[in-house]
Amino acid sequence: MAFLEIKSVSKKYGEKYALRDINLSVRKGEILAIAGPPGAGKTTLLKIIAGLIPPDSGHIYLEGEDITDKPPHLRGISMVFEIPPVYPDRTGYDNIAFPLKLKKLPPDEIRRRVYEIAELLGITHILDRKPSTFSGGEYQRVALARALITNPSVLLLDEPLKSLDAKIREQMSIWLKQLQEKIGITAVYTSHDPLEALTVGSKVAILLGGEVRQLGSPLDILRDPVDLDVNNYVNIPAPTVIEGRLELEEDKVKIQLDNIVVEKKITAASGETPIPEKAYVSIRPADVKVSKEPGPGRYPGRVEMVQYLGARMLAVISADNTTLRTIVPRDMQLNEGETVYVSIDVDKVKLYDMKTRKRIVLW
Amino acid sequence: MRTRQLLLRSLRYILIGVFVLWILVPVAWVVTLAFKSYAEWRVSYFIPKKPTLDNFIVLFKPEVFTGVMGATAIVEPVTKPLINSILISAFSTILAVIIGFFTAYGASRYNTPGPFGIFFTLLTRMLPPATFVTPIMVYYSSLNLLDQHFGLIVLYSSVTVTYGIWILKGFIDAIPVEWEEAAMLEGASPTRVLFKVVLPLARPGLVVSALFIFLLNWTELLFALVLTNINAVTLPVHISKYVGAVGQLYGPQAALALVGSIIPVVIGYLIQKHLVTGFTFGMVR
Repeated sequence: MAFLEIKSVSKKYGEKYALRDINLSVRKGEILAIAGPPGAGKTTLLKIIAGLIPPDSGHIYLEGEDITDKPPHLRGISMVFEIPPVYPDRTGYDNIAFPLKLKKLPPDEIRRRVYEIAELLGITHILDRKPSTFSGGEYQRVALARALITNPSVLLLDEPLKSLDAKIREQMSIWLKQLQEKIGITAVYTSHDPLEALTVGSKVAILLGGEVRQLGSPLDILRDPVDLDVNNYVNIPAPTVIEGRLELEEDKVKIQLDNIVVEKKITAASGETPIPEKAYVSIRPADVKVSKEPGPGRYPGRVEMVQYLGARMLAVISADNTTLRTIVPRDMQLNEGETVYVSIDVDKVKLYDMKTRKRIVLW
Repeated sequence: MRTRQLLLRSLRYILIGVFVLWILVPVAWVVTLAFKSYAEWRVSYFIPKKPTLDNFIVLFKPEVFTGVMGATAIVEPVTKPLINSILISAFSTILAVIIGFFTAYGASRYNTPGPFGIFFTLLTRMLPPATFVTPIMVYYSSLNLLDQHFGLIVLYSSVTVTYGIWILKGFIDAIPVEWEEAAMLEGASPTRVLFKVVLPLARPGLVVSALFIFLLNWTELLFALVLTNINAVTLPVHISKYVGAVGQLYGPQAALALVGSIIPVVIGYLIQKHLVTGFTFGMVR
């Protein structure tokens, strides 16, 4: 049974939908990651779950109980905000103890619980210090400690790692997932970075323009994006999307991208899907092979640009009218203006309908 | 090229020097004047030949000067105006900061007086204060507020509350709403959020606005001159009373200016530390 359930929640700001008919559910002990670009409605959704913003329509259920109209502090939900609520005027200890002091618990118990949680999160050394001396990671962990100390039934994390630099963010996202598994808390996590969401979430929802476009395991989302927008959002580096003409020839589909033609055998079963004349063809840079030698299925092209993307090298290659992006093998030296030969791994190519932008599954 | 640089640099120092002199010479003049005897008040040199404390003594014991200046020069002792000034400035500052804080919070978080409401609080500052002097005097006379401490406190706090609102609104705007929402999730009522979260975080703002408003109140002359006579006279008004038959009593005026500046200087010094520690919002960005 779903532990936390969001049922057809909508929220409008003026005439614009911030959230439209959101349906999500989280099982106990699970971490749901919501990924979406800035402005997709992630924060609004979390604040609706927390009770800080009322939804225009729809309901929130926690353990089967409708909590839509319950005041926020009675819901037993904690939230770590994008700007972490660590007050700069008091020490780490006072920050973490703040929620318990609000509840007027005896000082002994407050002390015990603060040290317990600080030990769990590895921040006992900053309890006596002011936030201005914290590192980014410590800052986030104090915010997390403050959220966890009330033993919430659900933990909401709104882009908690956004302000950290890339390397610490990666470490922290893994650490967070391990922590979540260790204490078994039910959590909802948002991120603008799809890769971070896929790392942290046991289930991932892709939120685009206020709508949940896809909900599934990280693997599902990476392998089978349901539509072109999810495909473009999730894949990093960005795939090349080209309009292609499709032609059915006996048991083969011919995909024509201007001058480049690739073929794919299809089985009889998938052949039942009607094949449109045209479709968006999405090709990931990793699925374009580049070679210095001509060969069967290889098309000549000119290296337009070479980019460095972290450890990887990305080349933009134009083969007549078609421009492809490709990941260059480490041992290959490419110069701009050089002629190379490219081939497309047709098994990995994905097709999307021109009108609905939905995935067309032919193989 | 090098000579040009040298020239520019020396020009810069000359300008700075002129500016510093412009500011400091009058201050230095007041300081030395306070220690000059009657004979030296109008001389053109800085250092008094015979330094004296008479100017200070006369502030508290007016009869000291009767031999020199005649009976016309007798002015009330400074004790009462000093206490008046402290009371009036302090109370109107506290009032303005408290009202300013709540108004600023409402404006920042709930947009209470509407988009123009807060702007209109500036209206009282858009006309020269002299415009209001006569009508306020008439009102005060019919309300029996003339020469009353309460009258000045009400006037000062209602004029300076504008500054309190504007300064504090800036500080409250800088506190992320999320920091309040976090406390709300943890069960804090709006009132407790205000007092346990916002108030401590806005402390530097409270300190800055209090200091600023206090200085305004402390130095205000025009209204105090018109609205007070004997009972509620403040320091600036009292300074203007040191006039004898022979003219301005520069020595006691300078001495009183020094005495009057002790309190703001001490407050400013004490507050400095608060300002520095308060401003470093430990934000990670």
